[in-house]
Amino acid sequence: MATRPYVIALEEHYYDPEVKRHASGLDAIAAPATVQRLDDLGELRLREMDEAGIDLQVLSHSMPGLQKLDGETAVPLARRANDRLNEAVRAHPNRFAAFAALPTADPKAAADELERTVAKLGFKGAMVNGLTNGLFLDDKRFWPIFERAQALDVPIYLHPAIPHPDVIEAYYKDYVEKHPGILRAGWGFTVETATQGIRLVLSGVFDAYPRLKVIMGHLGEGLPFYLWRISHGLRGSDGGKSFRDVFCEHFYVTTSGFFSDPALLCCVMEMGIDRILFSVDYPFVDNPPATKWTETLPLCAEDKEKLLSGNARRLLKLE
Amino acid sequence: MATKPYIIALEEHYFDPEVKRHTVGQEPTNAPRIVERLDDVGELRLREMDEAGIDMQVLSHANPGLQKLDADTAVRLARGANDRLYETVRAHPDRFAAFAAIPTPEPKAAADELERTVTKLGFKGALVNGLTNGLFLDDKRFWPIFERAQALDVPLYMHPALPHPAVVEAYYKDYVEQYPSLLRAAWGFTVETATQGLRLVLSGVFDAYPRLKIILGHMGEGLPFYLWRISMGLARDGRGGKSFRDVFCEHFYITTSGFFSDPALLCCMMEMGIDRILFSVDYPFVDNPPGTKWTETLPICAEDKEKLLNGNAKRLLKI
Repeated sequence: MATRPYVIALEEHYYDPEVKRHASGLDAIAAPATVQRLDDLGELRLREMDEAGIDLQVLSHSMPGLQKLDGETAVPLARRANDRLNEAVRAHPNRFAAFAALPTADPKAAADELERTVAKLGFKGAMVNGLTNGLFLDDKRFWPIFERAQALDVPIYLHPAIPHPDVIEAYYKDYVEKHPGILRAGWGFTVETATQGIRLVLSGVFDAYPRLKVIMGHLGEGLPFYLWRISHGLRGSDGGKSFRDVFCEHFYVTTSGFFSDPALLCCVMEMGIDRILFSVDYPFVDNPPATKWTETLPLCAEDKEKLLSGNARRLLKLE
Repeated sequence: MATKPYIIALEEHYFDPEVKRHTVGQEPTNAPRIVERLDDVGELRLREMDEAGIDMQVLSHANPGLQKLDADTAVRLARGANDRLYETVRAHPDRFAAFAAIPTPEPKAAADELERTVTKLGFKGALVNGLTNGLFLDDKRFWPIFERAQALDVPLYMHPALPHPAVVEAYYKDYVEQYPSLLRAAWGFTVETATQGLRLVLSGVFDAYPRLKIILGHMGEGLPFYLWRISMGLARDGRGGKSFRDVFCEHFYITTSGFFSDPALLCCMMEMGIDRILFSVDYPFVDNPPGTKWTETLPICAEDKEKLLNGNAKRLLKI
């Protein structure tokens, strides 16, 4: 038997006690077992990491984070929440790292908070949950965040949130009551976040910030599968670089909540193993099925090590 | 050299002159070379089939078909259009087969027209383009069409159309001018048609009509990639019963139209099996030669390639 591999998981969520008070309606998490685990940054979480063989979690605030708050509320709240998150990391520095929560409603302040958390607190980047008060992040008013992320050489993780209300009305509402998952991991999360990824490429933000790095969970929300078709569809209007080229140069994907061999192999073929990182999506998804899945993956030891820890160490500059 | 395989392509479009007159302005204008090819069901089309080695096209009316007309107009036009399509097939019975255009704005009449075209004209099923005046086809008022399709044992092909205006407004409008295909093959088509597939499963229509068969183009609009994640996301709703994966893999067939990607095809084969994957080009929106050339280099055995190129279509469409 080989020794157990070192495992880093990087889409792992928690609740800040003050930020969580702002989540209501569809954004509120109902399941008590999930809430209990979101609230816990100590014993329970560490035990469940140990049981599944996860060595390090990169913590991030659960959706919707600060994205649905006005700037005035979000800016001071971000500082307090990130400081508390820093304390959680300091309590277990060999078990936790952190992605910052950013007050995206005030892009300049969000860029400053990204810099503060990375430079002063050692955070590894930031996670943004869905639209910011209805706006996609490719809107030019948010570009100061991308500029700062490039300057700091840290990635921005694009995480889903409950979809735009007008899209719910047009596409999902008939099934929301009986199948609430249609808005979330069942479909709505995927569509909106994949759309965010495409829009970022079309926006030209990667021309402006050519070293910008973006992470998408859930196996890139499916975009690797579509690279041929999207690139073919946009051909002629893409001004040089194909969608495929830009995506594969700037995007990293994680396995959060998506433990599928066929989907993973499709991503490996399209993007290469160096851009695919292990994640669980704890506590919305349990740890053990994730690490068990990786034991049987049809990958060589070197590629598996990249997936489980090597790519994360390089991208997030973990020791 | 092996002999050239027999090749059937089944998402191949044309324009009926009368339907075309009634749908002006419902879709963006196609490029002149596309219009010329949509209008041609004779010499030019046959020559371009010959040049690429395509033996048979199953013809269907191009987007938007009859789906965005009032009921009276749609019912009136359907009969004439399908009769003309029948004449086209009769002129070259060894080169063309047909999917009916059905007047979905009047579901009972659509079911009757499906029956007439299948039993009297030998059509192979029907193709529906996108939403019917804003409604997805899983709405119960359309179920008479599914009931009749099952009774006749013919498949229904779910083809995209321009997305719902509210979704265009929320997700795409910022980029439509510079990247018009964002609404179409590059992304908007995909999202709406995949959503249609998902909604059909959730609707319970396959419980009501357990032998119903649905075809999705463009590699199943990506749904095969997502089977693991969608099944997990919906299982959380605790509704019990068959998983999304089970229903999808039992009732859906997919085609390669406009999506000539090895990684995507292999992902679909792993998830659905080769027996449910059928070759298509999406002529004239996509050229024939890249479609057939791609199949020459596919990493699949001769028996599976034969299924893809004609065997599955012969069985599903009873050709």
